[in-house]
Amino acid sequence: MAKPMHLERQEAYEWPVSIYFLLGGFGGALITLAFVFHFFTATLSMVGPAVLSGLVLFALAGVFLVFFDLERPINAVYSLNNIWKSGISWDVVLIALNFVFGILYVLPEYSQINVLTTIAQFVAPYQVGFGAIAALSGFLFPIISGGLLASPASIPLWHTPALPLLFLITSFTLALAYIGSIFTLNGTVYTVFIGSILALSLLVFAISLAYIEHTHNGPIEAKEGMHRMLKTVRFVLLFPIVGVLFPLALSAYLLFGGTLLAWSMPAMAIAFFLGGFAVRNCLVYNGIETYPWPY
Amino acid sequence: MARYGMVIDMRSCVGCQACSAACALENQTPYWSDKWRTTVKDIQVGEYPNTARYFVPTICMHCKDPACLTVCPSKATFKDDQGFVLINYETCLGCKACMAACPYGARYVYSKEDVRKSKEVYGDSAQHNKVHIDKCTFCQDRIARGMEPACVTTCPTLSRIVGDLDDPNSKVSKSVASGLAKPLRPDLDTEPSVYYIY
Repeated sequence: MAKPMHLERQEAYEWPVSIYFLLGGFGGALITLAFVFHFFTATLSMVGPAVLSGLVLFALAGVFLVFFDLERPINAVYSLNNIWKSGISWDVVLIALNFVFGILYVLPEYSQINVLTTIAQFVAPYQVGFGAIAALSGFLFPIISGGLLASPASIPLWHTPALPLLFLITSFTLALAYIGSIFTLNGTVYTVFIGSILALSLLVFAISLAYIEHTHNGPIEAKEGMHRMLKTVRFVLLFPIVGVLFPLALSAYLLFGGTLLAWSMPAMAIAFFLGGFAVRNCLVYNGIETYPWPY
Repeated sequence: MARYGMVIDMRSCVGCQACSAACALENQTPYWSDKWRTTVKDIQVGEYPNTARYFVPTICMHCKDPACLTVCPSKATFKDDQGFVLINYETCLGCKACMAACPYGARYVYSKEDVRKSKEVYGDSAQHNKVHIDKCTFCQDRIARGMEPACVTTCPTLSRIVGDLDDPNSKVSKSVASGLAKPLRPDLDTEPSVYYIY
């Protein structure tokens, strides 16, 4: 009995990859923001918590990739064999750079710990340089990992520059809200965080519209993928409503004179986390493909 | 060194799936999980009374510039000097980047469950002892022994022919040169070695 031809869901990637994209992007954005904040405001108070959180997130992302996505985790040792061409190899390099230079960057902040004093003093003069490399690697991670999905033409829903851009900006909104939460809980309020969140949320909104436009004008597989996403209640609730519109409205309210309550920033961070997971998971899940039949 | 290619005549394919069965037996593919190196897709288009039905045999295209090659982080996917795109099962991570990149859906996971079942079915002669990504090898071992791939030999309607694309006198080359046989999705610039007559 011959098999009927129809639009099929891709079988390559499952939910662990979306967790990997989310946690890795979040971690990279945290390290980048910690460095930017340090570089432009000479404030070091955020370097320790943000960079350490970023490294923990990278470790978790690596665990999800290696143990839940790879069919043969032990062979992960071969993942650097094709370093110049493969997106996965680049991801591994970026994670490694983040670990090495992130740790070197954060060490001087913990020089009071006896066992670290000597090495912290040794690396302190180079802290900004190490931080710059870690920040660049962190910034590139969501772009490269998004590019991993976006580069092959085989799955038209993913084949757009809007995808890595969406991964990048949603990672930064989440990281901003997370750092903002830490500041707020410590009793310091920076309006620049709220303004940045508002601006980036507007950007996410614009990219989402561009993405819908891409699928609307794209091949039938892309249209079908977006159609299935928009029919998924979990996606519609968690991404556009909770992950974009809620923080957009809240940050606009706060920026234009509303009272900042202790829960505002953590609430936005949770909203961005849920929205970020929903958009990655639903994009991965709804990658639709069809055999390129000639008629 | 010959560069092998295949021409598939969709006009004469009857969708009998003899190719799938022959390949499954020759290469121990996990038919129990409905995973095949080659199979025949049944395409039905249009609405009554304007309908049509086509049988499209699918197989790895052994592209000249394969999308699966560059994305592989471990270089487990490689091209040999005869143009076959092959997989080194020892170094395959099972990251599935190649599966996502292949526009022809030619790859699948030979999973842990499939390996277990394979040992159950084939015993000591089981060829697949580790989890890996699997795909058509163009029956490279049969070609090395001067035989044709199992799917070609078994096709009752002679819909598949195999030959040297670099030999202008081979049937395959002549079909391609005449313009009768065409690749699928030439716009992707992967330069497939499998051509279709339709």
